[in-house]
Order: sequence, then C-alpha cells, then structure tokens
Amino acid sequence: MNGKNLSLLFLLVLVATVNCLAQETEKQIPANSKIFINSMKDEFEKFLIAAFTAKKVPLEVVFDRDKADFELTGTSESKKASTAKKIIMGSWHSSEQASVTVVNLRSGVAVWAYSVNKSNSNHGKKTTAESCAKHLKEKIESKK
Amino acid sequence: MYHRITFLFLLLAMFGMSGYAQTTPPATPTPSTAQTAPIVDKAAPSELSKDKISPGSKVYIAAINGYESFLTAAFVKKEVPIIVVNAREKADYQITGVSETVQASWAKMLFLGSEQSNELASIVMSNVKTGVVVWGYNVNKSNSWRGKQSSSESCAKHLKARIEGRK
Repeated sequence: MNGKNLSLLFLLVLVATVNCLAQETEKQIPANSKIFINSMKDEFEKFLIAAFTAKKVPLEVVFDRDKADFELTGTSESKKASTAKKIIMGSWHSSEQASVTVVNLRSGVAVWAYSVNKSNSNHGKKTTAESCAKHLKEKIESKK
Repeated sequence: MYHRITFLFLLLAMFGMSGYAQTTPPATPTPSTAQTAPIVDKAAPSELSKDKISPGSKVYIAAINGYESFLTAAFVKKEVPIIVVNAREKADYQITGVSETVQASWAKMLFLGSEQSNELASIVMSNVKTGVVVWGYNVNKSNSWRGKQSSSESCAKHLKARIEGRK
C-alpha cells in the first residue's frame, strides 16, 4: 500500500467519523438552548413553562420561533372523573395524558419525545407537565 | 291467577316480537331499472410492498389529531431505527393514520371493575417518492392501561420488527 492510498483511507475514516459525530450532536439538546413551545390543546404550554421552572430545566423559553434552536410541540388530554368513577371506583382524580416532541429547528429532526399517562392524576395537568419536564431535564443532562 | 298468566304471556310475546324485529334485516327494496346500484369492485387488495425499510430512514408523521406526538414518543422509547422529521419534503417515508378512544362506561366500571379506555389505532407507512404503501398496522386495546401510549407503543414495536426484518 503506497502513501497515496493510505492518505485516501485516512481521509475516508476521518469523513465517516465527522459524519457520525455530527449526527450524534444533532440529536443532543445542549444546556441553555433556546426553545419555543408551540401552543397546545387546553393551553398545556403554560403548564409546561411552569413545570420547566419548577424542575429547573436548563433551557431558555422564547416566545419567538425565529429566535429558537428547538421547538416543542405536543398534545394533552384531560378527562375529569365521571360520577360513575366517583361512586364505583371511589376516585375524584382526573385522568391525564400528554405527549411532547422536541424538534431541532435547523435540521428538522425530532431529537426527543415523551408521552405520559396518569389515570388518577393528583394535580391534573401539573402532574403530566412536571413529568415531561423531569424527563427532558434528564435528557439534557445525559448529553446523549 | 289466569290474569297473571295472560299478562306474563303477553309480556313474553312482546319481548319476543321486539327481539325478532331487531334481528330481522329490513326488507330490501326491489331494484328498479332507473336506479341501478354502482358495481363495487370486490377484487382483493394488492399486496403491500415487501421492500426493505432501511434503518436511519427519515419519516414524516402527518397530523393525526395529536396521536402523531404519541407515535414519535413511542418510536423514541422503543428505539425504532428511524429519524422523525418535521417536514414532508425532508422525508423518505410518510406515516398517516387514525386513532380513536372510547372511555369506560359506568357499566364497564360496575360489572368489570375496569376504568381503562378502549383504544383503536391504524397507521400506514408509504414511500414519499413512489407513493407505495410499505407497511400498515392496526391495534385494538379493549383495556388500555396507558391509553394512547399503549397503542402507539404497539405500533412502534411492530414497525421496529418490520425494519429489522423480523416480520
């Protein structure tokens, strides 16, 4: 193997490594990134902002999509306990489910997503929002 | 005594007639020459494409009344080897579908002691360039422990199996 072939091989390996690294970085959510939270059903975005503060998620929430690095979209559903549930099951708590997705606005790739379902939510939407915030914080801190 | 027996007989006859009326199909009108029903093509559906879905493909999930978000979360949780993108133009494949939730009725709670919902979902994955359907899946969970999360994770599990060639 001559020197020319060796340099070509080295270059190829380098390109592949850089590509892999770029893909890995693309999936990360760096701390202190700017995030835009899109409006959701039943104003769940407000609960999410409050949960981010309560759980100390290291992200900056911005209200202008153009200034953001990431966008959070999702949905939330809430069902109050029916009379039957109150009488038969003896539970007054609502049933909550929510799902959120974080998308990198530059690449358009979904970098993180999470869904939560609480059949007897003690604090309604607050519980599901805080669950989302906790898991997002874990994702940021894991640096994966 | 005879009055009571007659009354009971009458009641039974009423129930019987009511039951018969519910099970008897409505009389079909005689086809007229002016109104001819359209001929329905009953040919078997064409087979789904067996093309390999390569790992790392970019997938766009169309809006399914919020269910798309549950699907994305399920793909992350089940580690499905695809990349979800937010624009159709960037994608190799597109997922469309429908999802339905039926909450537990009081009868279900009383007789079965279950407050879990009934979840239905159906998703179809097609190649954006060719328009060929490459995969489809239906799920029905009559007692879904975690609502939409359960049905979406079932979809994700089966898509992963399809990509890995286990199905």
